Amino acid sequence: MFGYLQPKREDLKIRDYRLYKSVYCGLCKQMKKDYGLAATLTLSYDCTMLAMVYASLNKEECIVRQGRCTFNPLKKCMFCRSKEKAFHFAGAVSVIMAYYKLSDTIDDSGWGKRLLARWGKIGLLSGMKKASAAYPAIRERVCRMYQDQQKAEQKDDGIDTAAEPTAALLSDLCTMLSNDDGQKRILGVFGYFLGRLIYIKDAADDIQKDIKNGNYNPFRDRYIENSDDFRQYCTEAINLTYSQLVLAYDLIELTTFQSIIDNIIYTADRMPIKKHKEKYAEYIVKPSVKFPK
Amino acid sequence: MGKYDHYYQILGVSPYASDDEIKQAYRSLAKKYHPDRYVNSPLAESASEKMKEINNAYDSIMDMRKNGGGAGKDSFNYRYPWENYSPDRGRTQAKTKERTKVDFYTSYYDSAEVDKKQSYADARFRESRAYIQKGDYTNARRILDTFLPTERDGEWHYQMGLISYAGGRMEEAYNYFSAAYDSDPFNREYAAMYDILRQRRTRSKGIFDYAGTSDCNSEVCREDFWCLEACCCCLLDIANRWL
Repeated sequence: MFGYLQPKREDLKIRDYRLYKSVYCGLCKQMKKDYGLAATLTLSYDCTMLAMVYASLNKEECIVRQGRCTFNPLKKCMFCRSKEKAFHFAGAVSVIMAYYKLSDTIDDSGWGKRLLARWGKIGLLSGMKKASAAYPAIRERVCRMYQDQQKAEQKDDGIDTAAEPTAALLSDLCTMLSNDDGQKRILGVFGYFLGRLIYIKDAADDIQKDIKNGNYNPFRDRYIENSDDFRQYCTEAINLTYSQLVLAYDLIELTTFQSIIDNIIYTADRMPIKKHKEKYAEYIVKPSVKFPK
Repeated sequence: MGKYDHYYQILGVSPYASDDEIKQAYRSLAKKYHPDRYVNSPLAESASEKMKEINNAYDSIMDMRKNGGGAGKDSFNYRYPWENYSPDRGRTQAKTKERTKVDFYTSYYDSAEVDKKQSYADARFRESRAYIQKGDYTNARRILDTFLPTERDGEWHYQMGLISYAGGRMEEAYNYFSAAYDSDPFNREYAAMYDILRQRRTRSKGIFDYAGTSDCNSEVCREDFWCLEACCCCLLDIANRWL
């Protein structure tokens, strides 16, 4: 997972934003408790969302309480804690994904990165063991995904095949979130398109880097430097996937955190594909046209 | 919790909402779960269930309100004498209204109807189409793979597109549908599917209209606050305190 699933903070209400922050910090604290200090370094926005969806689907009650931050003990933060399994689950997913991501890095990177990844893996090992003892299914699934990814890259058969392993992995992970059969089916589709969206976006963002380093990228054949056509193509591919994601998302029955998760999903497409870092020194506020009802 | 509270909850309105508000809520929900949005999607069934639920909730609430609150239920029900003048009148009115509503919201991409009229050039198409409708995509794929490259016409591309679409392989599906549309632009079915995907790709039609707050005018919305957040919310926290 790549940190794509974060809310647009400008669109959140302040109270939702504070709640979101408390979930983020709460997940960090829970991960420290369950999987060790090194595991907290793997914390990501994606897993925060996963924790929220889990809690929301299973109608878990959450407590928000003030406490002190692990990394900055002078600071007081709000921490959200679930009475049941939500944060435990999300933490396990985060640790296991990070561990296998590091294994992947060791396989195909330069020696500097490889060395760092080795150290990281040693640090994560104990947390990883605890997580896979609690959820053996997740570990197996993530393991299989990296094998599938290699096969798909060898096959080199367009964007659909390349995105399939990530999409299938998220599909299975999302299916684990609920116990209700009807919801499970919807969550499977939802996860599929979520994974697909993340994969395509990541591929479109990394294209320049991948071509420079000679890595695999599904958009490789279509890429033309600084071309609007290429950007257009990527945007269209993302739009199409995103529209299917919204269709599935609309059918999911959430109970808590709904406004935050709505925000994350409904603005997931608005994150532009990287062109260059744009900083807005000034911007225009256009008057909106209101049509009479 | 009473029965009607549940219905109000489905529509997402308060029990004290006016009729217009309820109608509006119903409209937006009906748009959201409309069968046309989910045409040929693996989630079509769930969506139509949801649609039924909403229809049922709306009808019950409207009936209840028309009959002065809990008519025919266990609560005491007073009617003015002139309302009893023709007991069937109110009911028939309600029924005709319901029918127009259902007509309005039934799918106009009704594939079954088209299916009857169509006679396929190749007998294998009927078989594979039946498999697709049942949701058995591997068998349908097996039949379609037997076609030689020279035999692959619009129908073949359309059916392959349906299989890809159901499996979530959207780029493939789009290519198949556009090939089907190119070979036979006058076929309503091909044109409909091609149109849907094209609109979703280019966002030319309001499929996203109710999706979140898309009416943001200022460019600054696109700016990432990612780097700010990365240093553990400290800066924002300070900002919060100053504000």
